[in-house]
Amino acid sequence: MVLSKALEAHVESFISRLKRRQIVGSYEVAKETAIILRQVVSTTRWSDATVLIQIIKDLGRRLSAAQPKELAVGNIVRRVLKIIKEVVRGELETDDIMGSGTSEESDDGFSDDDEEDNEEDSDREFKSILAQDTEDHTSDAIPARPKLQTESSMFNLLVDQHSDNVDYTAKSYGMKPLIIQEINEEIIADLETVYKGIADQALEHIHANEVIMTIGYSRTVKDFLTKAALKRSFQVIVAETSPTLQGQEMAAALAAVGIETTVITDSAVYAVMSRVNKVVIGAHAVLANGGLVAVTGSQMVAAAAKHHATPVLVCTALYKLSPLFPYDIDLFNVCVTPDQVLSFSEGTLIDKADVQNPYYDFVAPEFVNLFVHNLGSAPPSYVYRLINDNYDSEDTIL
Amino acid sequence: MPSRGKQKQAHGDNDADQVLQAVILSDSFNSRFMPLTYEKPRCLLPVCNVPLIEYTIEFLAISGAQEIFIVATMHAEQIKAYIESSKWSKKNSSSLHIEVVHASECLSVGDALRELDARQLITTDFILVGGDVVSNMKLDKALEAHRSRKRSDSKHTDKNAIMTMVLKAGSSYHPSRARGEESVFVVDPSTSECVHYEPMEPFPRKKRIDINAEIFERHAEIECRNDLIDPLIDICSVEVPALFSENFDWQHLRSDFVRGVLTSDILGKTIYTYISNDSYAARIQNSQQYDSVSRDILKRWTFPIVPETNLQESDIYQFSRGNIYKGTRVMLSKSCIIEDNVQIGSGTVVGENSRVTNSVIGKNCKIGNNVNIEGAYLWDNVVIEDGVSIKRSIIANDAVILTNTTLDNGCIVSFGVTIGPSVALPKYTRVGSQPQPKDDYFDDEEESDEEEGDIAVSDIDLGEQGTGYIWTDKGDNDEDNDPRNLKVASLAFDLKDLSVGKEQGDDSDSASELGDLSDSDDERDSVGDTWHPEQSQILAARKVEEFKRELEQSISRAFAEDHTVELAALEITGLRMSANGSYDDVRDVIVPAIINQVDLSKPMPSIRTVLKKWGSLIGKVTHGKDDQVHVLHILQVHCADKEQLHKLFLPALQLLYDDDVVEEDAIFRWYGSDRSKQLGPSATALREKATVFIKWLQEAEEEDSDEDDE
Repeated sequence: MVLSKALEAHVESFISRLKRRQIVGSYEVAKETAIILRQVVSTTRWSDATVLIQIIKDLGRRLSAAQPKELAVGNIVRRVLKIIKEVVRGELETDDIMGSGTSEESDDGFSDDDEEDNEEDSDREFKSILAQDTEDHTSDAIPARPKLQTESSMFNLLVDQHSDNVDYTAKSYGMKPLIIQEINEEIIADLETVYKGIADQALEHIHANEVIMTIGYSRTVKDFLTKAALKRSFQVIVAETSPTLQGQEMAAALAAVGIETTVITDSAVYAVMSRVNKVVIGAHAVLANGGLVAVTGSQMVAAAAKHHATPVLVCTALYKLSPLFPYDIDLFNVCVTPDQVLSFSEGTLIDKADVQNPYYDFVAPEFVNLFVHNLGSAPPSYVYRLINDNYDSEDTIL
Repeated sequence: MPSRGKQKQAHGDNDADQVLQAVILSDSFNSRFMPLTYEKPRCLLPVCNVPLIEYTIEFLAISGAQEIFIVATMHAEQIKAYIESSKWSKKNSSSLHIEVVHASECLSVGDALRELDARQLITTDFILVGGDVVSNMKLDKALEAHRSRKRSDSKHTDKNAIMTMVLKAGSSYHPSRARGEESVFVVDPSTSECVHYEPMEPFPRKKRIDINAEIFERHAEIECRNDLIDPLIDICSVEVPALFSENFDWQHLRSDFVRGVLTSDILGKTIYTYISNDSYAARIQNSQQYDSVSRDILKRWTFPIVPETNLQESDIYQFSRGNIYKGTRVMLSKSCIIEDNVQIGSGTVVGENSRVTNSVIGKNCKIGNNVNIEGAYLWDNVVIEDGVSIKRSIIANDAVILTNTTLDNGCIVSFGVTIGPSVALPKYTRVGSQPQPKDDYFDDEEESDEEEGDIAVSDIDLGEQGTGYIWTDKGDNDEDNDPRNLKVASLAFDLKDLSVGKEQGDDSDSASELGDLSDSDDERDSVGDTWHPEQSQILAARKVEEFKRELEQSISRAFAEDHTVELAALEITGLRMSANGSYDDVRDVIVPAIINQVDLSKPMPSIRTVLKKWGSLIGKVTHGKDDQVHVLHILQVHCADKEQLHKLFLPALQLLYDDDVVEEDAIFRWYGSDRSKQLGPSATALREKATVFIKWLQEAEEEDSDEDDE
């Protein structure tokens, strides 16, 4: 491995923390992965992009093998790969525009105004129609959301042949600071604002005097509801989420910000559902078909909601979006120690009984009505588009 | 030692982020896993296809240990080679430093710790574990509890605390407890100080625990806990190895060290417990635990330490429903059935119509058609041919089981052994690749006692092409360990089979003990009721008799070899101490014995010489008025017993009085006591004879007092 010693130690410690599950929660994992990858870009020696891509891929494979169930690791790796490719393509195309800027300072200057989009840089080569307004677009500093709408045309599908004619092996100076810059802004800064981005849309979805049901503890959902509670008054019913009882924690947090909160047992979910106007849940990961991996009990809540024709909203950040497809619905589940279900001290009993304690549920896409992500909202059938926008299809398998 | 301890301690106080050291005692110092451990150290035996020590190091790494010393005795080279090639010794991989300490001379845990002390490797509080711990516990809380006791500002300051035993709450008949080596911890629940430790072997059944009454004075509340799983994870202070050096006869960590420290008034040290309720901890010290811990891992109690965590970097396991773990390139035939709790290593092939349940199969194994594997542990490169049936057995690397062979519960097949074709191994057969050595670990004489009931071990047929040697189950060289304790600790042992074996030990109620063991808790609670006072009295009486017999022998030897009184007295004291006998019993024996030495043909001069010499011996075992009265009673009874001895009574009384063995008060009390009048007619006659002597004594006394008055 070509990683420097200090970095290798950092990677190893991250891997062992992943394995030991000392670092859990996709947000923390995603953040640490992004920081490690940024360091890889900045500290390793690479002469051209192919080498760098290979290094990142190798490392990504190692990291995601350490904890295959933490899909956020692979997602961030794919994002970084995409950024690298875009930068290479963008630089090759616009060499003369920013050719003078090989030093870091000028790079900084360049990308300051080019807030969100090297993607658009890259698109320029084949999307000259759109490319013309790129400059104005960015200088207006409009948040990234509209971009997705502009890009969602089918045009891409027909013309998208770029990968063939880009030479990644070309020696490229000044690419490094640009890539680092992009990782900083596209991924790390993005991670810092995900909760706000999702919460800002709360008022569009939650109306006065509604009854909302949720399950589990999700910071995204908590911020979402908290934000809505600033303007509107509504009621939240939280399923306690046995055996982890995260729901109780969630209820305490919601009650603390003044939301009228009720805790119910998981078994009461169906009975209460008829009174509920909307179900809002978080997700651990969203898969390629629009299905989601969410805290155990979510499938039950979603099924009850479907039966009562209650809309189900899933609050999820884009980094949770994974291009992997759930061929086996248990594939991304984690079975943790059965201790919480049946105490280990029941010695003679546990010898005879098999006890399972799955941590997650797989919720099929047909149970979900809308994904609220940090850049907007989309139905499950639109997830494939989001995936295409965020990742390069070459990188689906690391 | 104290100076050194204090010095280090002071050092430890101000230096919070010092290196956390850990010591792994890789050797088991017993032969539970023979013949497997004959070729491979126990800590390298695979558990769920990962060497056992990997779990232990992982556990220490989770707990933040930075420096690990592995004390290796048997097969030290193998351990060293393994560690050097493992991921732990890769240069920049971790901040963990591992050093293998060769200690080839050690025969026990005590020796290993003395060796550590001699090398001065330990500089701070350290974690002491066996090389066989499987745990997902994070020790930080226990470490903090241990350290805070040393600080003066904490709630329960105890500067004398030298050890914290980390225990896992279970239940009294939990499969993860070491069968045959259970123990009871008596704990003060308010401070979690351990005030008493009692090992509880099931055989012979212990019916009572003696607890020092002082404990009740010092502690308002105590808990006796028989539900704890002891994974032998101890947080020790620096003084611990030094204490072992001071007490050179301590061998075991629990039964010697913990007991020694807790019962000693001189050491003044205390031991604490840390009882964990939520995380998993167990150790594999016998094959029964190998089975139960493997199953716990497969059933994910040890999460996140489960097969798909891939402790060894080369492994890639995938988890699927029903606790089935598959490595890469596993080929399962279409018709084979893989049921619950199965782990299959990479490159393994399973043939048509074969069935595998509750088992672990290693890498690159070949399993033929129509094979039935149930609760078995197959290690790497094992070949199982068609039609074989294996139940709850361990089969080591490279072993070959030929067609239509059957292995019943509890078989252990060692490395490279071939068995079959078409034979049936009976229960608990152990097959080694080398003949069983006959060194002092395996005492030959025991063989006949230890054979498995009606199966004569040598009759077991390994088949036409079979290679390998039958090993018999020998105990440790620990004499006072009941062999039945070892049997219940072995793989898949069925308690019903104990009654098949010969009656062992002196208890006649082994059937009822079995009932206790195999049944559930309700019977357990009534342990108090099963204690019969009469029975224990009979037992005690038997013991006293034996003691007296030995005493007689030693005294007659003293007479025959004409020992000095001092020597004889020393010998008697020694006997009394070892048998825990009373002085009453001693006198019962020696007074008649001395009188019997008198030459009856010329009684008077002979009794004078005899008593002149041996009278003082009686004096040495007589310590008060009551004792003296007792001597006189014995003398009276003994002399009354035989016609010829009648005339010896008075002279003997006189001589004893002259020697100050008995004083006049005692003689008066004897004379006045009811007992002296009720010992039969001839004895009463002797008492009458003594009347003269009594009178003389009384007169003498009166004279004395008269003189005093004047």
